[in-house]
Amino acid sequence: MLLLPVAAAALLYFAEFGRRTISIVSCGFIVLSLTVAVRCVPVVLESGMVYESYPWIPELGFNFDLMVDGLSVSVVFAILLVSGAALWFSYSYEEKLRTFSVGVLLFVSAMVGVVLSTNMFQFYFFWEAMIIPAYFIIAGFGEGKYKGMTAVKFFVFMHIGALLILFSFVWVYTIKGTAEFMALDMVGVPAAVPVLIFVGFCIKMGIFPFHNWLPDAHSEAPAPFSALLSGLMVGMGGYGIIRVLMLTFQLPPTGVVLTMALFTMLYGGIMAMAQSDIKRLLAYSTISQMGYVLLGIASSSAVGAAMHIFTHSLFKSLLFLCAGSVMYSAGARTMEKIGGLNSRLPKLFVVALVGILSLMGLPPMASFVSEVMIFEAMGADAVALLLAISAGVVTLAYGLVLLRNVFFGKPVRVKKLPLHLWLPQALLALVLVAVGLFPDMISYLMGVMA
Amino acid sequence: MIPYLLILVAGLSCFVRNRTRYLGMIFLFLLVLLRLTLLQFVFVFIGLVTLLIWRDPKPEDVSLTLFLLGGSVGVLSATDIFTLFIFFEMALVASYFLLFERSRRKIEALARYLFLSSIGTSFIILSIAIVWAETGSLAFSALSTSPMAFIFLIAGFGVKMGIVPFHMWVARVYSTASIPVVVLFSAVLSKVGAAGFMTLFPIFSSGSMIVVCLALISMTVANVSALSERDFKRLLAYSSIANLSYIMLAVGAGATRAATLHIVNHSISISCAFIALGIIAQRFGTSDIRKLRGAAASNRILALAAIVSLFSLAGIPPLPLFVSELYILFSVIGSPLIAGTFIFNLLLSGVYYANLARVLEIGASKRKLRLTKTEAAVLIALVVIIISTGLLPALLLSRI
Repeated sequence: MLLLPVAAAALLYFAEFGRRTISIVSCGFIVLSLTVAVRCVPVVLESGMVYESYPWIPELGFNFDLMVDGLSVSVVFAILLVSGAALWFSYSYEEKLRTFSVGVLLFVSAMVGVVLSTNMFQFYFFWEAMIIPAYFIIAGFGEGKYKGMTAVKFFVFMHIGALLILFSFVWVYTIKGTAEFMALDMVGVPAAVPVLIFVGFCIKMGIFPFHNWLPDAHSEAPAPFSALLSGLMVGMGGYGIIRVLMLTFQLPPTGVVLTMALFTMLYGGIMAMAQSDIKRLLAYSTISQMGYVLLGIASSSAVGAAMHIFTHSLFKSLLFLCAGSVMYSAGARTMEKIGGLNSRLPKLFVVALVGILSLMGLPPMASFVSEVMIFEAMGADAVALLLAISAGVVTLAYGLVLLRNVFFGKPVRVKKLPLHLWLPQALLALVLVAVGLFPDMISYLMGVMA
Repeated sequence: MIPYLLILVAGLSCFVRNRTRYLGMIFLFLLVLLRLTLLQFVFVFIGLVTLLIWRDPKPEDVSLTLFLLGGSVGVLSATDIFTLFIFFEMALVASYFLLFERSRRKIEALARYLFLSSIGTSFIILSIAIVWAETGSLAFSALSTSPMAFIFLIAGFGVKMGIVPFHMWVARVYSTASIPVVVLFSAVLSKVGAAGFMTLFPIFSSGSMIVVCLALISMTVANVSALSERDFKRLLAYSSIANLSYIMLAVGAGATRAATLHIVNHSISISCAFIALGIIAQRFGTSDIRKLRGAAASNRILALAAIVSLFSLAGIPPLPLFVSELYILFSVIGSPLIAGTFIFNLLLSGVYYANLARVLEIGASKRKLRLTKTEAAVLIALVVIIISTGLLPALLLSRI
C-alpha cells in the first residue's frame, strides 16, 4: 500500500512517457493501493488490525511497523480516493504532468505512511517527508505571483510544527524508553510535552493563532494540489491529535481546546465571507472546518472528528477541483469576474452543488452526518452550542454567497470543460452522496480502533 | 600500513606524468577493498570520487590528494597522540599546496588559512607538550587534568575544523578553491579534525561543558550567517561549520557513536551537494544563487542529486542526516535548553537549504545542462548511497 506510490514515482521520474501513459500509471498505482486497502478491511473487522513489522534501527528498538486499524484504513481510503481524483484531474490541467505526478505520488505515500505508523519516530519520519514534495509543488506549479515566498512560508511553518513534535517525541522517548504508540501513556511525562505536540499539530491544521500560512499556501498552489493540501494534509493534523494525544496519551480535552475550536470555526467562516477570490474563500473555509474537527476532539468524540476529517477531505477537494475547473473555463478566480455558470456548465454545476451542500452540512450529504456526530457529542454547554450553531450559520451564508456569485447572475463567456476534468469530480461527488446515505459503513469501520 | 601505502603511491605518481589520475584511482580502489574502518572507508571513497570528477588535474594535484588521504587515514589509525598529530599535519600540508594557485584572491585566502592554521598547529603542540609533561605518556589512555592543555587543544582543533570563533578562513577558502579541493576540505579534512578531536577528547577529565557551549554558539553563528549568504559556496561553507558544531556537540555530550555517524553522513551528503552545485557553477560560470534560477531543473540526475543532498543536509527524513541528528538529539535531550537551541538551529538551516533547493530547481533556465558519463555515474552512486543509508541506517550503525 505504501510502496506502490513510491514505485510509481520512481518509475515516472526516470522514464520518458507520454501524457496519457503518465496519467494511467499514476492513477493505476493509486487504484492498486486502494485495492490493497480494501482487502485489509475484512481482516480489520475480524481481528481489529493488520500488523506488519520490519526492523529499522534495531539498536534503539525502532521498527518499521505498519498497522492498519479501522481508523487508519478509512483515512487511507480518503487519501487514495482524493489523490486518485486529483491525479486524474491534472491530466487535462497541468502542463508539466510528469514532475507534478511524481511530487503528488511521493506526497501521497508519505501521508499513507503517517497514517500507518506505529511508533513516534516512524510517524515523524513520514510527517516531515510530506513537506518536501508539497514545498516543491507550491514553488514550482503555484498559480500566483508570490509562489516562491509562499512556498518558503509554508516550509517554515511546517518545519516549526514538525520540529516541535520531534522535540517532544525525543523527550518522551528518553523518559519512557519506548517509542511504540501502544506502549505509551502519560505516566511520568511532563505536562509541556502534550502542549508542544498539540501546537505542532495545530500548525498543520491551521487552527486559529497558527493559521497564517494556510490561506496563502492553499490559494497559491495549483488547484489539484490545493485539493490535496486542503482536503488531506490539514486533516493529517487532526488525525495526529486523535492518534497521539487521544488514543496514545489518552488525555482529556481541556477548555482551551474547546475555545480554540469555536474561535477557529467562527474566524474561518467570517474571513471566508469577506473573500472574493474563490480559492482563498475555500482556504478560509478549510480553517473553519478544521475548527469543527477540533470541536469533535474537544468533545472527546474521536469517531466524530475522524468522520469529519474523512468527509471534509472529500468535499473540500471536490470544491477545489471545481474551483480549478472554473478557473480553467472562465479564466478567472475572483467572484466579480465570474457568474451564471449554471446555464453554461450544467455538469459542473451539479457536482459543485454537491460540494457546496456538503460544505454547508446539509442532508443527505456525508458531512451532515459527521457534523451531527460532533454536535451530539458536545454536551449541554449552552454558550458553546450557540457559538457552534452560529458558526454553522456562517458556513451556510458563505456557501450561499459562493453558490450565487459563481453559478448565478450574469453569465460570462466560458471555455468548454473537458470530460477528464469533470469525471474525477463526479466520482468524488458520488462517494459523498453514497457515504451520506449509508454513513454507517465508514463510522462503524472507524470505531474499530486499536 | 594503509597510510604509508598511500603516501608511497603519492610519491610515485609525481614521477609518472601520464595517466597519474588512473594509477592513483586504481590504488585507491585497491585500498577500499582492504579492511578499513567505516570512517577510513568513507574518506578513501570520497577521495576516489574527487579524483573522478576532477577535470584534467595536474599530476601534482593527484599526488597531493593521495598525500592528504594518507594523512587522514593515518590520523584514524594512530595509536598515540603524537602519531595522530604528525599524520594530521601531513594532511594539512598537502591541503596548503592544493590551494595554491596564481591568482590574487586565492593567494589571499591561502595566506589567511596558512596563518590561522599554523597558529592552530602550535596550540596543538603546546597541548601535547603539557599532556606529556603532566602524565609522562602520549597514549590515548593518559588522563590529563590540566585545563590549559584542554583549552589549547580546543583552540587548535577549532581552527582546523573552522569552528566559530576560529572560522575566519572557512568561507574565504571554500569560495575561492576549485570544487574538488572544496570537497576534500569539507568532506575529508575538516572531518579528520573532528575525528581527531573525538579521539583526544577523552584524555581530558573535564571540559565537556565548554565544548557544548562552544558548539552551540558556533552552530548558531554559522546558521545565521548562512541565512543571508547569496553565494552558495559560502552558504555551504557556513553550513559545514554548523554541521561540525553538531559533531562537537555530540562529542561534548559524550555520544561518540552519534558523532561518528554524523561525520559519515555529512561527508557523503556535503560532497554530493558540492559536486552537484559545482557542476552547475562551472557550467554557468557563477556561484551567485540569484543568477542560478532553475539551473538544475533541466537535468533530471542533477536535479535529483541537488534535492536529495540539500534536503539530507537539512536533516529531513527519509535522508540520513535526519538519523544522525536524531541521535545527537537523544544525547542532549537531558537538558531541554541545549536541545532547544539545537532544534532551533535545525529550523534555521532547514530554511536556507529549502530556499537554495527551490531557487535551483524552480524556474525556466535558458541553458540545458549536460553531464559527462563520469559525473552522472558519480552523482547517481552518491544519491543511491544517501537514500539507502537514510532508509536503512542499520547499514552504517552496525559498522561503527
